[in-house]
Amino acid sequence: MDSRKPLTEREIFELMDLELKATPGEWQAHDLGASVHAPDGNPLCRMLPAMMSTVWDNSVFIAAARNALPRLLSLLTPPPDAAVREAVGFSAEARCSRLARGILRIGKKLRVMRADMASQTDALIAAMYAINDAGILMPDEVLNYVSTERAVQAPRLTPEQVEAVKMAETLLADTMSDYGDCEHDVGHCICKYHSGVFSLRSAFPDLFTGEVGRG
Amino acid sequence: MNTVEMLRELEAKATPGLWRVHTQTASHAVETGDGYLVCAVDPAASSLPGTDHAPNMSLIAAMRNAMPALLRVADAAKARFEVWTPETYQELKEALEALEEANNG
Repeated sequence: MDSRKPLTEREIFELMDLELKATPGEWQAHDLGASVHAPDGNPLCRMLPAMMSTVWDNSVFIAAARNALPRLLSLLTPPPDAAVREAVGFSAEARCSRLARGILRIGKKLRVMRADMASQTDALIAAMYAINDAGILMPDEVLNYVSTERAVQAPRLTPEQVEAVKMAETLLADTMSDYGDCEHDVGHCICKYHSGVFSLRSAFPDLFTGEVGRG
Repeated sequence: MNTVEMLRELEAKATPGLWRVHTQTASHAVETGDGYLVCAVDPAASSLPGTDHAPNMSLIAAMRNAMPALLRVADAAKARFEVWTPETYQELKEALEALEEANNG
């Protein structure tokens, strides 16, 4: 893990997993910072002499970080299984399950994007909001994440990407009601939905691997 | 001082990352990238029955390394809500508010 870069989805899940496995409750720095204790008073770890000059800073940081971690991670909460099922299920009832799954994949990809892909992130966010505005249930967790990402990224779209997003927004928003009957593949179909997805895929090839938008 | 501010202050004072689990001690210690040991399972606790210390050591290293990014996320989320707070972001808003509650360490 590089602490200067955004967290990847894998790193987030690893942190969540460790947070659940680690000793729960409020950790506290004890013995003038020489150790960190669990709520029941049992020592969890002892700071080592080689780092004695910073034992207090490190032990207080460890305790504070552990205690705040659940709340920090809640900012990045991935879709709980039940929520994902509900989202996809709802969309299936509305004949939108394939797009919902595609959106979920896009959301997951957004989480692992690096800063140098900011323009792609912003373009897709625009398209995703258009999809959402068209009435497709968008998992809040995905929206929360992309909105957070968006806040720290300045748009750097190329003219071609701007046009692609505009086209996709229009096509996707206009055709939500009937795309579900199309059984063709993106790139081999001229229906508005697939044309819109193809436009996005062409403009942002790195994001559209796998089966996103496939009919 | 709220939790985010407190964490930022403590993060700046703590031994810089990256930290990692010390591989020579059966996952029971944390060291810096330079190989300096930061902390280890307390000998008094190492024999406590039913206690698995490896997750604690792993968590200490992982959260130290992730903290700068997590704090940036908190900043970004806060900036977002200063501009626009739609109903759909209520959970995120509440999470932020929880972080910004007074915290004196």
